[in-house]
Amino acid sequence: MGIRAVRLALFAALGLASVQAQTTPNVTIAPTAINVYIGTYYRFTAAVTGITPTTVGWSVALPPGATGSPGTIDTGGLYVPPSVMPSGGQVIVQVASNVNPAVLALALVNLYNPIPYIASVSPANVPLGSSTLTINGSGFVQGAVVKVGTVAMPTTFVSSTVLNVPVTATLDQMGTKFPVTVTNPDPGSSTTTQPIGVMYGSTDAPGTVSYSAAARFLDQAAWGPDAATTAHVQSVGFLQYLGEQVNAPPSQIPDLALTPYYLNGVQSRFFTNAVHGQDQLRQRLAFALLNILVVSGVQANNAPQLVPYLQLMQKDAFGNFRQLLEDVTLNPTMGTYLNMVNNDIANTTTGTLPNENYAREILQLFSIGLNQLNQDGTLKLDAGGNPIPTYTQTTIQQFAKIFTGWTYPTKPGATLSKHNPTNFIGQMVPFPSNHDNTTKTLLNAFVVPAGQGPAADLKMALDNIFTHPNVGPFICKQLIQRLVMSNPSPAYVSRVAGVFNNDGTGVRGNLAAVAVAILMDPEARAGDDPSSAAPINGGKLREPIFFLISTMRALGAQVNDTNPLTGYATNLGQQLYFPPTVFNYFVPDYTIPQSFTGSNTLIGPEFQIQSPSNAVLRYNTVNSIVYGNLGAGAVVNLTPFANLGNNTPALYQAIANAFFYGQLPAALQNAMQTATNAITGTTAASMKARAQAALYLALSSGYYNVEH
Amino acid sequence: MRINTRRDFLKIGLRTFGSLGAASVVGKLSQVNALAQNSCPTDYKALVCIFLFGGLDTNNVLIPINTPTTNANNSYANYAKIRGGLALPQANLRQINANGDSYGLHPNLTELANLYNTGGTGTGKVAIIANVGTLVRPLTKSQYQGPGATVPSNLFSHLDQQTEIQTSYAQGNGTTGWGGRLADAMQSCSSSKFPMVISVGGNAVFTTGSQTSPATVTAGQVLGLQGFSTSAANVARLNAVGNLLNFDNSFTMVSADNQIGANGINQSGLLNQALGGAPTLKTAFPSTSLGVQLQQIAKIISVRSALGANRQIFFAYLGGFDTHDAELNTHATLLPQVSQAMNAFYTATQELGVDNNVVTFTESDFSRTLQPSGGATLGTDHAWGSHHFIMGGAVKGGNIYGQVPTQALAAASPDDANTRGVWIPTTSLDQYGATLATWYGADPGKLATVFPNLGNFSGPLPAFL
Repeated sequence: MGIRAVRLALFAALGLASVQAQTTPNVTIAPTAINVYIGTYYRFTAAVTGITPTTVGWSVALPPGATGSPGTIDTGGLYVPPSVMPSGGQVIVQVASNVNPAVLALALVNLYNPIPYIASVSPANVPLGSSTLTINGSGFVQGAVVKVGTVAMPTTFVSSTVLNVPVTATLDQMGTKFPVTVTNPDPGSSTTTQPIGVMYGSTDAPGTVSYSAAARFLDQAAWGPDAATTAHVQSVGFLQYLGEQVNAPPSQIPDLALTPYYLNGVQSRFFTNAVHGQDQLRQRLAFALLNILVVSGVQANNAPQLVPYLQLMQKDAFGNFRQLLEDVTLNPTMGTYLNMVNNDIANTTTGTLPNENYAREILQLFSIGLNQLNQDGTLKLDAGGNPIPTYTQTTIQQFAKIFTGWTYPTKPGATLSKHNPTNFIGQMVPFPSNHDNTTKTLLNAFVVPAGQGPAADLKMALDNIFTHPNVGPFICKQLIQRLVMSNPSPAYVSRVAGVFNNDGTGVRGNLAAVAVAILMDPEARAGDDPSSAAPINGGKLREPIFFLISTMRALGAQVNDTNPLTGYATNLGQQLYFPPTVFNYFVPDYTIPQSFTGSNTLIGPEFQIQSPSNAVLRYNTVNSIVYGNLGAGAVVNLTPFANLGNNTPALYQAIANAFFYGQLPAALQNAMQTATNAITGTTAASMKARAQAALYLALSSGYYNVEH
Repeated sequence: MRINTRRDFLKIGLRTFGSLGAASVVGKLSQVNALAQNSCPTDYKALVCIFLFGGLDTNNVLIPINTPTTNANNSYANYAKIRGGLALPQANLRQINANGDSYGLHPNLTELANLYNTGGTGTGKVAIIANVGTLVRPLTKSQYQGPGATVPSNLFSHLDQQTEIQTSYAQGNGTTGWGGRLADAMQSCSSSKFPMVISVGGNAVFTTGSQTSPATVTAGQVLGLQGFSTSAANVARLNAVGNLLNFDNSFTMVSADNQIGANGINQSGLLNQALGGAPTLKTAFPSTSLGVQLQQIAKIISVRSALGANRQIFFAYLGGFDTHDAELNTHATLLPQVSQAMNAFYTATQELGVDNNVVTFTESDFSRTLQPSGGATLGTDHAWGSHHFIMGGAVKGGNIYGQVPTQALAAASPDDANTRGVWIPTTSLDQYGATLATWYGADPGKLATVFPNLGNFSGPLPAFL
């Protein structure tokens, strides 16, 4: 029923005439109809003629049949609506003469839903992936709709002060602030006007990142902090920096055609790129992946063979893990390293079976690992408390059949043969008659039907691996270990694996999203505030390659492609691109011997190559960096430190800024002081000697070796 | 204090670093005493473990030719038939005999074959133990293939099997090695400040005990801190290094890294001092990876008195045995290195007069499938039980201990775990190690600590020592 119809019906029921003679006693009300928002009020006025005194009384009522509260009206005609909309949404206001209550006037109030107000949005920073956003405020009604940005969200009405909406933050939204509004429905539909927004991503609004936090962040997201990048992160915030990094053009690995045969130049270029490249995060991620999906120069000992694999790692670093797995599987360098190339179907004449090498290691090392995992990376256990294997020897032999029938890419102009000549350009190609076309039973009893041919078999098998629930926790935990810390909590692993499983848009295996989730996780950022206690079991040892690069960056080194850093890394037990086996230089679950950790059991992958003798060699490497001469290819700049040689407090602070995120613990300062106090004189040589002594101590300290 | 000599200077450095973790050392001493030996030896003995990483295919190391006494089913013909393109020509094999049976060693194991044959059965300088591997308890084929068997965890995985061999704990996830635990057991007999266990192959779990932390030496590297003269400024800086070794700001990992650094500085200082008086070894070593490592070990043995050591356990290694392809070529490259380096080392122990006091033995991840795997060049896949060498004057060499598996596939061999010639070990690594540890001097009562699964195996230990 329309408002006009209601009003006419109402007046008729009350037996009122709509028009009365001017001279008769009369009460009028103004206005006779009005819209009032719940949560506001309205003052009616009345006029009395023909009666004295002219005092009136006010009252409110609901129309017949309506339920709820009509609200209140005071003696001055101030109408206050009810807090909850009565049925029908209308209220009748009556004003009557106190002398003759039969002389009265009525007005109709059409109640409007309240005007919504947002006090706060929680959380203030929406994490990557799916979560619930809570809007706190007032005036919310059933049917209210929350918009984040321009998108109307499915809104759950909790109370007039609380609304919930599910939100899904995707990678490309990270770092964006979205306005949040609430619109109440009709009658009187209205929308909040407060400038409230919600940040997708973490607490790093530009200008709020401390020096300590930015520098520490760059030990995780880059090859260590340098002065310029630290300032930049402070200026733009973590998320914008990550956004820039994801979009930064990749550093150049030498073009294959121009590369000399030997790997020296490729190795040196790696260090040049790491020290000076603008695509720091891509390089960190590509190197991390190279250390998980390992090929080694022990076998791929020349540039034409290794470089295409390095380029692949760089290309896929921010891509999808499924793509990476396929690119790696079909890469001839990997094919040669783990014997998938030219892997033959069983031969009853010569008595050979398919080679099991790639089948085993793609499962054990590249994707799912030996035992079933929970999403948080902890072992699933059977009823007897034992780990549950992900596969058996039979599974390996089934996958070995899958990986038969592939050979080197056919060279231009050549004809495909069962065993093509060696060629590392492009992807391996199938030779169908050398493929085992029988039925194979893979992980989780998935059956690959017979007769599909090599390409279809491979696709099914890689999908079978990629969809195994172990992949997220297995890969993400290792990436956390390589970027942030050796001993992430299960909750941290679970959060990142959750992003691996679904990046917020329903995509599984988005490595860029995983990287952002790793770096923006509260556990990664927990040590950013130096005033709060850092977790004593946090951190990780800098592996030799990272130690050298981060030192070069902190010392403002100029590094070019003639640098000798590969030799220094080799000396410390980490020959770049030459891990001893597919198990790499060190394994992700290496436990530091308990004699060094007391009552704590700590994983420390990098400690596997930190032997006592290598620890001494690390001191001697620092000696070479600080006191020696690395040659024209890697020139450190000690001048800013030497210039402070007569102002040792400033020298110590400069060193703290370069190597310790600006923090200068007393014991560290005291140690530097012990050394610098023993150097007399104020000459330039003395100043430099003090700077060198202090730098030697800082760089060789366990406190720097272990980033934390 | 005026510093006059390099040696004085080193002492200052050592004293500084020696203060690190004094309380924990006291705690460890009390634990050590609980493990004290009943009686302490006065002679010198050393064990040298050579770990062949990657899984050496010992099917092409020891080949039964004609073995009517111990296993009439084995013959060169049976071997050649299954091995196909990987079969080594019989004429090229290095002939050895055992128990009246004839075998061949890989053609490139010339020196080891000679040492095996020196003096005849029971007196040669090299023995072989056949089909040894990871086991929790004795295991037959029917048990293995049936339900409920206790099987080593993660068979056929390099890393897991390396760890199980080095820890002698086939249940997996062992965190201390049997070399380290053997040193723990003997530690109460040592007064040397230099660790009883020394690795020239980096950190290896074999070398780590509950109390024992190994010294490591990178063969061919300059030992000790560089860049410190005896100037006051340098002495002050060295003292500051020592001070920083005590600074960890409560971070466990910083503390661990500090202790490793302190160990390295102290150990290299002690070893440098000792090696200052080392005799010049006349024995020429091949300049291979293993040759250089074993030469380094010989040098350390030569200064055992200066180090105050009467028991030492060494760890060396050679990698590259994961022969999924190109096996014949790879063996032709690596096995001569093994044979020549071990031979040089034995000669060096003779030169040093300790050939009867040093026993060298090999280990590997596992052996490999008797049946080859296909590809452009033939290789083999991961298997299980394997054959190993024991070398030394005290070794009852010229003989094969344990049982050589029946060279057949699947049902045709009682030793094949599946279908490809994967040998279920007939001697456990614990038994192999226990013979070595007993010779080394561990009390019989200590063996259960060093080899937790040893009690699961009855019968005498292999008698190669």
